[in-house]
Amino acid sequence: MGSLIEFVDLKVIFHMGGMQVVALRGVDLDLRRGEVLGVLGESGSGKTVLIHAAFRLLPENAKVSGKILYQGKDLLSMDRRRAMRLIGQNFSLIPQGFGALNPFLKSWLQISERPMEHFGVGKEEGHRRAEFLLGTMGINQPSRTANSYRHQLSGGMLQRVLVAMGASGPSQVVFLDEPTKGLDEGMKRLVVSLLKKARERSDAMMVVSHDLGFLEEVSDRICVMYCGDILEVSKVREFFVSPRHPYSSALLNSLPSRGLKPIEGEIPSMVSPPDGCRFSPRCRQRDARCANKRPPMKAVDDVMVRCFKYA
Amino acid sequence: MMRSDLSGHLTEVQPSPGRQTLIECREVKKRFRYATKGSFLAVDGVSLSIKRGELLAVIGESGSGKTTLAKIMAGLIQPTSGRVFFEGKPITSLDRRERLNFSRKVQYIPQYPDLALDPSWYIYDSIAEPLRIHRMSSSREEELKIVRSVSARFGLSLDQLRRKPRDVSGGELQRAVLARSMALNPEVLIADEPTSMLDPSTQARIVRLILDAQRELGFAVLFVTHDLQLARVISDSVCVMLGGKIIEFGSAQEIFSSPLHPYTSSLFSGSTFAGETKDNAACPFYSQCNLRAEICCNSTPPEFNIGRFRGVRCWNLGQPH
Repeated sequence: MGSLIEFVDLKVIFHMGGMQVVALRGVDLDLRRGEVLGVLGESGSGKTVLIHAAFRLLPENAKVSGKILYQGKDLLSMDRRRAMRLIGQNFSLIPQGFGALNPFLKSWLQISERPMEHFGVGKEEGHRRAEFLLGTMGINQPSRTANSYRHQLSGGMLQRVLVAMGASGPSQVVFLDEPTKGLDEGMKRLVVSLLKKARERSDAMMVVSHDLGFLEEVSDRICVMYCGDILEVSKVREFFVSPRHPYSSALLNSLPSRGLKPIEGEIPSMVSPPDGCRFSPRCRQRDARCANKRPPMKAVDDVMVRCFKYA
Repeated sequence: MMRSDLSGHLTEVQPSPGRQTLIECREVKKRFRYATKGSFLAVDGVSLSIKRGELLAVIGESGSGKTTLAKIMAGLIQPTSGRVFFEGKPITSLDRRERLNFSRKVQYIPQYPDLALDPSWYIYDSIAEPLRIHRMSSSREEELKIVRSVSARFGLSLDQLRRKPRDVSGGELQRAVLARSMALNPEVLIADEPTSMLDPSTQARIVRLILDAQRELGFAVLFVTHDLQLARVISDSVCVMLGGKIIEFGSAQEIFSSPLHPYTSSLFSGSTFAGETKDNAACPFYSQCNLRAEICCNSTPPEFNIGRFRGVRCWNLGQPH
């Protein structure tokens, strides 16, 4: 499996009125062909920033350095128009929440926006495709759904519209941002089954979530983020059986089925995060080195871990 | 409560002795009318009681009527029909003092912590407001003492109390909402999906705080959730809602080890996903049920009771197979 997208030492710093917020602290990650990569992290860990950087959607006040290579081409150093064309033709995004849908446009137009914009698909064909996609997702009256606005659809239908948006173009890389936030079990299961369908039509997927159970079900590899740093990258089975990083095990232990033990302390403020390992103030296994120096990424067996325990 | 005795081994439910019933609703229905046309029956004939000191979980998917039921039991919305009793008296006929007493003893925590507190108020004032309304403190010093002690229980520092909701995280905000309701020493806490919007470790922390406070202070909790794992771990008894009806209830252990309603078992096994098809069949699970028969479409299954605290609304349990 070769890598399709490579993030090389990606740093994102937001400048906010004299303050600096380091949202990503040098991320090295690859998305391989054919896989589903789950990015796991709590709020504020930089998951969404990672996706937005790949789409060049970050706001003006964000200073980005490093590289995002798609099939060897750097999306960040390319001029904006070329990058947008490349991104539009190859990537699709299933955004977080129904707020991403334009309330003034019918759903078919939003589903087929990408093929119409980037692949020269006409209006009628776009409409037909949207209806077809909705039909394959188990909607009873796809033409009615396609011609509805956001407020006319139920939560389950909107979720399908969002997934259809991600699946409307030819095979590419699909990014999903928190597809299960606030959804109940039934809806989660729907997203899982839709995602498995969408997987067949795409080369690779990156799913960002804080829902451990969901990621366990859908992903091949798991990447754990905490405060803008990647702490662990491992195969999904390995991660749930023997997590390497202290944060990973602490997070797993906070699940109801594994004891419901909360992690001590608070997530640090991103304005003044701890030096060294970002998790060190809450870590039970910390030592003198952790507070001062950022641990290097080390390969332990098949797993990449950023912790002095393994250095 | 609809009770039937169709087969021999099913017996009449007896109210469980010992524990005092705090809030009880009988045959409660709530119909929402849309501004344009039509209406939606959110809660369809629910009878339920919360007993002193128990943790009752209400589980169900979005749109099953969990939140509406919780709000009715908290006295926040009026049911279309049916009645809600608090300590044996219907809440609509409470006088002013009793009503104040009810609103002190029954506290409600909404799902979205960021919408629960006034954004222009300091968190301190939001926590102190109920104390002022109920005249629970004679002086500012005493008020400060109560607010500080209840905030300390939920891990909020003085510095956080001086902030406004936009300046704290979701987990801190939910703890502030908890502190606000706990300041009044309630007897019932109605928590409407208090953790569904939070990260797993924050969720664990909030749930732990509720459980610890409950163990210490002995209040009852009605915990509305769609997280089955969570319900399994924390609750004493469980109600499963679907389409505005309670389709199964019982002790948590019984429900999770041997679900009787086909919907409950499919929920646990993960075999089906929630359909958005709502047809007019009498049983809300009709269109997706493997065991459906003609009777399920035509007449609403009554509540068949098994043992002292176990009930199921499914025709399959009332008929010999």
